Amino acid sequence: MVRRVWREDFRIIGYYTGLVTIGVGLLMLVPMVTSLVFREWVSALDFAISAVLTLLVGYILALVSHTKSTPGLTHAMVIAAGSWLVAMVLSGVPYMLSGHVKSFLDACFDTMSGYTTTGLFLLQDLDHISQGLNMWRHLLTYVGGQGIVVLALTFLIGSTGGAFKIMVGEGKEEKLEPNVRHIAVLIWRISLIYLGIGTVVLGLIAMANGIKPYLAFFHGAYIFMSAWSTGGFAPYSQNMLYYHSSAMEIASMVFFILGSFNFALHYAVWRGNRREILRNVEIVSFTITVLTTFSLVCLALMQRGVYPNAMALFRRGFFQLVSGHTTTGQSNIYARTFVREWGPLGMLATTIAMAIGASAASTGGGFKGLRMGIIVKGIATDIRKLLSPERAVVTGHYHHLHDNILSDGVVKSAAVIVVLYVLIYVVGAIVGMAYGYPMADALFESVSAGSNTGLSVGVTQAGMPTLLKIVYMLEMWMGRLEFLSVFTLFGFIATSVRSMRLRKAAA
Amino acid sequence: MQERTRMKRTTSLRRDLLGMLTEVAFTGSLIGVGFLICRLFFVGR
Amino acid sequence: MNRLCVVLTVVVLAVLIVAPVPASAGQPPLSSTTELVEGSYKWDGKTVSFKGEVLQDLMVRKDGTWMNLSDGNNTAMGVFVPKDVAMPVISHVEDYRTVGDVVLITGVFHRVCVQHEGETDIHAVSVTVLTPGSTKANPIHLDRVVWFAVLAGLLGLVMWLYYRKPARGTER
Repeated sequence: MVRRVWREDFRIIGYYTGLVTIGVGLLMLVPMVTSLVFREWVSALDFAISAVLTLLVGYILALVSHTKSTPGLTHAMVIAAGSWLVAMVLSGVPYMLSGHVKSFLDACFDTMSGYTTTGLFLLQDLDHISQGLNMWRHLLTYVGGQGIVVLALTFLIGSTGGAFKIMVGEGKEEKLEPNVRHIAVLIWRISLIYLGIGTVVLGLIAMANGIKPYLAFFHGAYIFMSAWSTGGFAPYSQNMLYYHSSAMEIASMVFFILGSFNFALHYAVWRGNRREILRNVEIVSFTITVLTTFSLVCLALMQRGVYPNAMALFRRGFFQLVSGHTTTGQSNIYARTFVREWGPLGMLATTIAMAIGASAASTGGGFKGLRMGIIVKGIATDIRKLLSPERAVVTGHYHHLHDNILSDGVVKSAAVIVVLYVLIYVVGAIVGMAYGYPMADALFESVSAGSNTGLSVGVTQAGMPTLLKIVYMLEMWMGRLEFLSVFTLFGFIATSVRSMRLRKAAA
Repeated sequence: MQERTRMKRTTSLRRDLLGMLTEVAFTGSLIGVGFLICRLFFVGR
Repeated sequence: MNRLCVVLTVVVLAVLIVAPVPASAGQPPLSSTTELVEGSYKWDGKTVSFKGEVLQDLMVRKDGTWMNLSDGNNTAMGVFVPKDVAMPVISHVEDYRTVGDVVLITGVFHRVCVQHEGETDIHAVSVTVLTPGSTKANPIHLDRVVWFAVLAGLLGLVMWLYYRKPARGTER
């Protein structure tokens, strides 16, 4: 960013951030209505207050910064990162009002975790919160998964090139269709159809398992939203253990695996290109890494004699590993059970799975299967080049929607981002260890935050060091936005400060 | 004209459904393979 | 001297026989979710007592009922009550507006329950309701209503200012 920042820049950023904030305020009406339905009057009032406050902030921002200019790429990135922060703070208000958080920082931790579809939480006494607050938590992950920005795009902004740039700032770079509005509508259509089907399927399973019908479909909605967004929240502290149902777990697993797929892939497959699912480099990479890490997990579990039969090994082991690899974070074992019984190798294999993560342009995190595939193929191509005669021309290819050339530039971009992810994983681990946490625990939890997974070994507690909370929050944020947007925001702030100083000096 | 749009909508819905089924089938197969791996580890025990 | 000894012995025996035996004598040790999970290998297969509030969904299934009992901040344990075990009537389950029955169970703890595909659970042998539940007070605080009114008023003002621009979106 080597230019001056002008007042108009602030207006563009302020205006679009305001619009996104208004979207968030409107979203708060959903948990408010939920509380009204369940006659949770106090909770309904809390959400009414929060909604009105958020809308107020949004409208003030939009009013003060009103502009007709379209955002450039830099603006778009700053808006994406900035509105994330504003949404995080305002979305924490219902948590504060509920009395279930120990501090405002804790509330922000939970909302950051929700929007980034991580799933770690500092909420106190989860088993006794209102249906409204539960709806809010799960809704945050669903919306976060879709991208707060896409939400704003669909409902508040007309179709412009500027809006596309905001979405690129969000990390969903696939060029699906030329028209942005069309893309947003497409993403929403696929997600909403699955939302409908998922809620019904999971609701029916819940009912069959003994949950009363009117509650069953709320559970269905919560678990679907948690799964599809690869968020990992659940309405009760026992997470998936609450339901004591393998059907519930398997159905959820299907949805979170689907949620971890690239939206461009969904689009291609739904448009008729069904073979893509077998040829796509991300799917191939994912399949290989899932089965490999799972085999490692099985090795570890068998060596320690943790599970007595194949069914138990499958139900607990596979679910946990796939939940980690897709960066979902739902669990059907206790956090401390995972640490104590799975042991170092089991934990390491899961950590690696989380670190790699899901597909690009999906709700999932990690450094992404696409980059994994590109780097592996890059290495393979380099080896081939070494072994080939000097004059032979060796080009690598990878299949992602169509055949692509594996240029040096592509491999380099992938490698840079992977290094950045590994950097935040390691820094988070170091901070954890500096506070005295064992290495395996500190590394696991740091990777869980940075890859937006949400599986916990017990490090994430209200009593954990404040600096560590902030470190994890930064990891979640940077991991979700895949760095570019966050770096642009910091660059923008730095440049604004410099510009203001220059202007003062010139005056 | 209406006939064509109705045809388009049915084909589009049909494509959506087939797409969904393909994805779910793939996912189910992956889960199935996971289960087989578990069985493999317990073979002979 | 001998008679004194006989009298004393009779008195002691009488006291021991007639005195009420404390309820906990012979009762399995009271445990918590944290203890059981941390000590899962130690407690595996042992009979324990467990006390907790019945969470919202009591799941009646073919071969028994599942209860989730909450015994602390973000700790809860799944308890399976087989069909042949007497289940008392649970009057209240946890809700935003209700405190659930606090129930005491004794049962066998499983680190990885074979019947339930590796679940960490307790299979109850006896279930008793210790404290019946009740409705919570949950009063609406007046100051929050005032906050709402003030903020809503401000919002109305700002929205009016925002939308009254001649044609929203046109700027000179």
